[in-house]
Amino acid sequence: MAAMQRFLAILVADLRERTRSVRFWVVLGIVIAATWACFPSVDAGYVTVSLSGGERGKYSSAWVGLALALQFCTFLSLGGFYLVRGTLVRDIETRVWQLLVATPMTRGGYLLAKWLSHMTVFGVIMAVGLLVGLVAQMTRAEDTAINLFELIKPVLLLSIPSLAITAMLAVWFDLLPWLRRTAGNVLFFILWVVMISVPASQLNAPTAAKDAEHAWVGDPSGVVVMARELHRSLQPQTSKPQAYGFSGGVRMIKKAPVLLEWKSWQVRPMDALGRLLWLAVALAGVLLAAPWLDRAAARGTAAARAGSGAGRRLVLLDRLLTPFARGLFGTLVIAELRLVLRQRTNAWWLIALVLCGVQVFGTQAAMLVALPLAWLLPLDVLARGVLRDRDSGTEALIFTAPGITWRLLAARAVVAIVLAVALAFPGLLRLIATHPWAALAALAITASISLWGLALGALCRNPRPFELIFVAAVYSGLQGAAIFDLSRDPITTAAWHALALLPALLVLVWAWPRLARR
Amino acid sequence: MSDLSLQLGPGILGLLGPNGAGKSTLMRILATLARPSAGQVTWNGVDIVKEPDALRVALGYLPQDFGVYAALSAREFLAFLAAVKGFTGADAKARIESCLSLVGLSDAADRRLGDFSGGMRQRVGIAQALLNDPTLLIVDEPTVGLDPEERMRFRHMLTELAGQRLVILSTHIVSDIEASATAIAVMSAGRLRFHGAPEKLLAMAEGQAWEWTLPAEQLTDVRSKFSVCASLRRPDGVRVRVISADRPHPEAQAVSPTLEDAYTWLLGADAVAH
Repeated sequence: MAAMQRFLAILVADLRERTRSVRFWVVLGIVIAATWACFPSVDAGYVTVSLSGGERGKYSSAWVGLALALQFCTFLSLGGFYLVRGTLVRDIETRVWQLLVATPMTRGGYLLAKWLSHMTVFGVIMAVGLLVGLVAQMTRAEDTAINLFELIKPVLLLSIPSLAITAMLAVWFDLLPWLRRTAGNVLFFILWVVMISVPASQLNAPTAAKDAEHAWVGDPSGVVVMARELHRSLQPQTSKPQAYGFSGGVRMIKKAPVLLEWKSWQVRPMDALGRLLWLAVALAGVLLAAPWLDRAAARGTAAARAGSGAGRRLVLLDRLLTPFARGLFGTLVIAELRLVLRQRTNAWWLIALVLCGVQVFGTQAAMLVALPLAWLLPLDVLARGVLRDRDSGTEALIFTAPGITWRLLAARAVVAIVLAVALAFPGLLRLIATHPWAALAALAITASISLWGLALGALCRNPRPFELIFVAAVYSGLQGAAIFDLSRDPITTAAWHALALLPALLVLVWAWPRLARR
Repeated sequence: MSDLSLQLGPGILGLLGPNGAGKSTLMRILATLARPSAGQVTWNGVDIVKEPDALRVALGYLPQDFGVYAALSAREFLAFLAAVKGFTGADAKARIESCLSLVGLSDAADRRLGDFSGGMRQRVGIAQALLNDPTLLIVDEPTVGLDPEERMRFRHMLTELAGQRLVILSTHIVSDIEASATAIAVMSAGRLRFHGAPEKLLAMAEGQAWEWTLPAEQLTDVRSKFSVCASLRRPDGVRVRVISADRPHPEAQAVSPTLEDAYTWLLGADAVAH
């Protein structure tokens, strides 16, 4: 009984802490807007969850539930991680952990409470989403028969296990000291892509039909199960062979979509078992973390951080930088640069060296891959850099200096750009020699990502939104999206990124003084 | 905070008050980190809300709670803050070395701040506040968390630093300012209750402090009836020091009030009045 009370106390305190932040309500607002946009009318010019020909189900309760379950399994399991993570880190950094550790609370109970708190946040988001979905069903009136069981069933069976895995990973990523910050944010994105794309890749294989039948065990996100069910039920209605794939994002269409019937989802027992297994995996994963908790929490202290590899003396670099430390602004820029470089680990320098090597010695294609990765490397200097004073508790020391507000921002922008340019320097030199427009585009990209990093960090007062957006943008770029295109149409790329500088500056001008005044 | 008016000149001002009195808010306003919702703060005639830099060039500020970059050495951290404060080249180096020496950290200047004790970290805080040789030095609850030796060292350092500066030392520990303050301001519930020389406060509390020895079992009863400033257990009972307008006990003897007594009396009188 006492253990249950402790468990509930941790859970309730955690939820209070979360729901009393503006961020939580902003996210709920975004969920409401995004869910509504998920169910466009037939003449809206776009569809969301649809088959390869643009066909979609009529907005019945079952279809609304399935479409939302898909969004929760994919986008919420990605964005949700960045939303819920950080509560363990908060306990460790605010030293609340030191108060908790002296109580009879069990480590497993503590971690389970944190996991359940993550799941409760997801639950609130899903409940709000389902409610909006129901309103959309009634408003669009394509099928007005309300069936709450069919509405909720896909979310229960598909989304909850998927989000349970995300919540478990959020616990682990908070636990492991090297995953608590930017590196963890990047790694989770990679993990998420793997969790979605590896099972989904079965759908494109020649053995897709057979693989899909056995997907129940190897599909943490549930997308393969969903694809197979869509294929099985909707192919007969389209009267043409359908691939197993489906579209989950926004897809523009020129004519009204073909509407298919989707009244219910007949769940196969093996699929239900598979989803339960993933839920059990998530729970087991949380409990497996318990033995590591004390050690991981001890490694979160300032003394432990000081003893880490970061902050090594960089004598050569110091000598290199000293001549540039001239004048009021130059001295500050070099001081900022030194501070940033002091905190680099050996692994960071090694990756930087490898990326520079690829830019120098790799093929043109390899160089074009290495460039966005090089821009990604100083990710923690961007959105997190602008929040450094708040995070380190040095704001009162810094913002009482004369004329510092804009001077510091300018210095940080210069440092971010210099660092991004330096890491991409070999590639830039090659581009200048062979494709000058591409070099110009690369410089515009460097400036735009640097300023947007600072701007979003200052605006959101949290580095995670920018880190998620930028990692996703780099991934999309590597997949062929035009966002960092340097080979097909670099002039357009340069123009767009140059244009993006103005709104970034406007956001900074608005948000930075407010952040500095806090 | 409300109804607060102060005019200050060189010397050490001890700003006293219980927790939540508004001391830190006042410190943050004076340090240009917060804006008053009404009223004016001027420095040599310049409104610092409109022109904060007029004060910032002359300001050294040690906040109650501040962070450091744990991976940097004390010298590197001060070099960073010197750049932030606008010092460059040889001038900055000289200032850093001078401040390190002043706070007794020259030998430890190349050690990482993450390895520093609380007292050493506090000395780094003082060193950064002195980097620009400030005319106004604001130190907010500087001795919280320090051991007695470090606390003593800090008090001496502050006295030495005073000179022609205005030092505002905010604390709720009266002994921190007893030996050094040339003026005292007492705040409670966001209002200024007293401002003047320590002697004036002592004079106001004259005849209010009493001492006598009582059996240990009566201590709880006395505490419930009077404001007990101090109690000392002895073989013959407990020697208590009490603030009271009238003789609290037939055996009680009037004693000269200390600053702690006067402060307790002032807050007690204030509580009665409100």
